[in-house]
Amino acid sequence: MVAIVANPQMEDAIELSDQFEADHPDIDLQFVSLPENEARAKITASVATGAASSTS
Amino acid sequence: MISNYETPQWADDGRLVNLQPYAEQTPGYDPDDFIPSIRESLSYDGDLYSVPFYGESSFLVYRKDMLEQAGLTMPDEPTWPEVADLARELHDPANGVSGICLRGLPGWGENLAPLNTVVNTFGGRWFTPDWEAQLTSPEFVEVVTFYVDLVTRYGEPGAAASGFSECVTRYSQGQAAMWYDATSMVSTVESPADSTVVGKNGYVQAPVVETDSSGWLYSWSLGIPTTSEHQDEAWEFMAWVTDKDYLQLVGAELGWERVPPGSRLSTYRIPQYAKVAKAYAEPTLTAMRAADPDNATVQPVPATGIQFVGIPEFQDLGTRVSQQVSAAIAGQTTVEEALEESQGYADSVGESYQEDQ
Repeated sequence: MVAIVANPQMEDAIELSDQFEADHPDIDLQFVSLPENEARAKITASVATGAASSTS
Repeated sequence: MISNYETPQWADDGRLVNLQPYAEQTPGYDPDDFIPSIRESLSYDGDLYSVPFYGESSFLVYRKDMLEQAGLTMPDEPTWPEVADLARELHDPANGVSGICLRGLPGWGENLAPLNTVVNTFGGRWFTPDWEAQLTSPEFVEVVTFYVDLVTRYGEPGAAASGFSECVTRYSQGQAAMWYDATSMVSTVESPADSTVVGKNGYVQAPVVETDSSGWLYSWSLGIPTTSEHQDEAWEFMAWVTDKDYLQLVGAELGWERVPPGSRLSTYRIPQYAKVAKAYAEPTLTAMRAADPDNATVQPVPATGIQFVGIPEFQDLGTRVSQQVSAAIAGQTTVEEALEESQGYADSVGESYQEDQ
């Protein structure tokens, strides 16, 4: 699971990630896309409690 | 995603995986290609703990055609009072154009990012080296008054609720003559799919008063929490999305203006990117080179950071202060009252560090 910020360049990355998944059939990507302020708060909370996604 | 605010703090806490071995062992990844100021800001004890998706400083974009039509000239290195004069001249609400866009939305990463760079160059600071809060000092009051006056008089309507997203939309739709914000704005402002003002823009360094430069330094980056059960898989994806090949992929598939900027030096040597980025590549690199989180203020301070104070408490403190600033922009409180409240919050943080000393 990837916690990602909902800015335009990141939306592009989500769109293009099909190509990553095609090359990595063993990896199943899941994105949690949040606006900047919300992403900062949620990621800080989840890293603090250890309930973190694979990638922050 | 995290940033250069969280990375050194969470590396120090042991909450992030050291990525240096991954970065060095991944063929062709080339971590030395990251822009030096960004690489340093995402490192702890010389090792990378997060990798940049994009990097940014801040600069001023302006509509060349609007200034020309009004018989105005943008100085090569504008000061804030000069920018305020231009905003006054260019403000044309009857035609749906504001003189300038500036963030007013609460959030330490929202209105405080531009505001803190203005604080720095006006000679203000959040704390003295011995943690005395300075939010009601004459310099701080002067600069917040300047910012609030500028955005309420010649800024966008609904400024108190406008952040990066609202400003990028407004400017890209031709509704502002100037905008001071992240250099990463170019991916939208110069994108024909998203913007009606492509090719009409000039870019100059962040306006200054007492300092030589004042642009911020920020990177949205990717790190792996030490609690992750899929660290290798996480790295696979992070390496893919921050690699040189990904930048080529974005350019080829979506357009070269949409390449995430400010992460790698090599981006600026891609011929197709150099062509579309002619107006803003050099201003972006100049701003990123000048950004120095260790020397951002006129007077000495106890923690590093340009648009933030690099302490864990800043996330909460900054959010509270940003709410006060936003309320002042909305006219719900005065700048003096907003800063009195803010000083109270900052005092308690400062006192906790004084007790530790």
